[in-house]
Amino acid sequence: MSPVDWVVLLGTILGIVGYGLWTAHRDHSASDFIRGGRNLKWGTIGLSVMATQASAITFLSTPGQGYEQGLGFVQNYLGLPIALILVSAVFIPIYYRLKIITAYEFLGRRFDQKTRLLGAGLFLLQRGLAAGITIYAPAIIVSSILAWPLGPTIILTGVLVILYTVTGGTRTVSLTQKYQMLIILAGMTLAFGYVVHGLPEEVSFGDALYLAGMHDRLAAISFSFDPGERYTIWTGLIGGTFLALSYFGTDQSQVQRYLAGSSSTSSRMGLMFNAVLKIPMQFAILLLGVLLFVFYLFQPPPIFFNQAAITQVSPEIRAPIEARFSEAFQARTSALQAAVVDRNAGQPISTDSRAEIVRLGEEMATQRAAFKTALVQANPAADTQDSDYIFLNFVLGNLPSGLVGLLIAVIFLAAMSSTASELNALASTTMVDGYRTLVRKEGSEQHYVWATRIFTLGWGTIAIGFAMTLTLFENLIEAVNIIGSLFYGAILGLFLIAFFLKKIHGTAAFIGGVCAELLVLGLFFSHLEIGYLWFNLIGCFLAILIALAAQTVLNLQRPVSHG
Amino acid sequence: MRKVPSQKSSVSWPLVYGAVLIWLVLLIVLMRLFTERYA
Repeated sequence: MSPVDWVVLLGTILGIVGYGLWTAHRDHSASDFIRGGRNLKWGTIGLSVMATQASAITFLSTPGQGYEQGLGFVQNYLGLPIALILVSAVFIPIYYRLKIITAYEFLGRRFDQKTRLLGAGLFLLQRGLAAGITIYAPAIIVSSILAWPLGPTIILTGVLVILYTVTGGTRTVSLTQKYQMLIILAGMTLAFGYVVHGLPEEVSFGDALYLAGMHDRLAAISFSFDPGERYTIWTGLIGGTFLALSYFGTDQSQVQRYLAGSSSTSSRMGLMFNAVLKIPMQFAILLLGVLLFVFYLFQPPPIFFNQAAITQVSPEIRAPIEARFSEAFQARTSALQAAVVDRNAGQPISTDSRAEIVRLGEEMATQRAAFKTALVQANPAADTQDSDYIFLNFVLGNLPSGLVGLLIAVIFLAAMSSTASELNALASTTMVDGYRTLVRKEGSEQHYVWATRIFTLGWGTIAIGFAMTLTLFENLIEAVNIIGSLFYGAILGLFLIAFFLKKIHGTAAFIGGVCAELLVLGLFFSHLEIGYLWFNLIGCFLAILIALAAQTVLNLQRPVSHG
Repeated sequence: MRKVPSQKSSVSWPLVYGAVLIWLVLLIVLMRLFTERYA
């Protein structure tokens, strides 16, 4: 990185942290500190909800996903607008009417203390684990690509977040997220422009889409019923709605964001802002990845995008593989250039020419596989996935000075904004649902503010500590999703019972929640072939069914008295 | 007599939700057309 990049990177990050500290002087009561004074407008809420969901790994992994598999992943978000409408129409009015601070407080009001603690406990467990991964995942990639030491990168990211989250609470987190998200969107737009700009002169945007389509990268919507197909409109609309409903309706890191609104109208408008923009945003980031794929059809890609891993394979083994890879690349580029010339002259690409292009692509994939085998032989612990490195590799090698610093800042800001929401929510839940309920029921507002600050610091330290001990996972985004899916189902089940099954009381709901969670964990550890996203659905239905059964048994044991 | 400002939201939520759902359907149709055009 050039000195200009360092200035932009440090200026952006320190500017945001400074702004956070500057805003952190208004909220004095515990309720204000946690709910952010309830004066935020819908635009701030919308951007803050968006920034919470979009972690650093979103901006690293999604272009990689687009590069390798195309646009199909966008279907995962199709259920999101439906879920947000449900949260807006059903959850928000009740949360506002009861003036709750945490989502689990609602469980306490509707059921009893033990069910509230169960909901809060499950949240703390899964979010506490996820917070460590939120910091670790971008740190490992950035430190690997820029050759920064991993430990200090993790500590620096964590400490900066803790600094303004501890000082300012919810309002500061939301206000900083607004600017973080705006910088992130600006950075990604510029990156998109540069990828298009980086295509060869003779390749127009239309040609680029044509070539991407030829390599099966532009299938955005599939109506297939084939269960083997990972992303279809059905999995997106059904599974996606379910996942988004659990996340936005019951996860305190999101609930806390939209409850900071000046009114329920602001909260709902903030969610509708996401319902409208989230799918186009994900589509654009995936398309950026697809265009990167086209870019690397004409520019030589490295054999492996994690450059630090390349040197782990000895040059004697590496050189012949790289030579064959490069040879196939050169031949394919020539064939592609000829195909583009034909296309621009109004002639369709011949079947032979198309087959040759595909064959050469397969030859490159074979050489990449050979390299990965050599990498694992040299270092059995090596990660053979490199898709998360594609975007940053492009940024470092092709963007002008200054913009590189901005894009690295984007990754850090995204990590900071998600972590801030997580720490904020973990601390609030610990304080409101644990400390204030079980330990100190009568304390001054000032006491509770300081308790929340200490809990924020505590959770931040745990997250950093957990991130420092994480070893290289095969796929970190998957790790986060698996942890979430194991807990979300039972929690959502409890909330759906609370909202829609009025005849079920606390004890039955508690039994349903506990049994569902244990059964889901049992299923997970039994190593049955169940896709992890299904655990959301299974957990939710088990919780509801067991609670219904338990309530029936309890009713039989205690006949209703008449008169 | 001074008018007390209404606490009620002036937003018609069924209309907003309807518009969001139409937007979702439109996005799906556009992305499907995109798929058929290029994939």
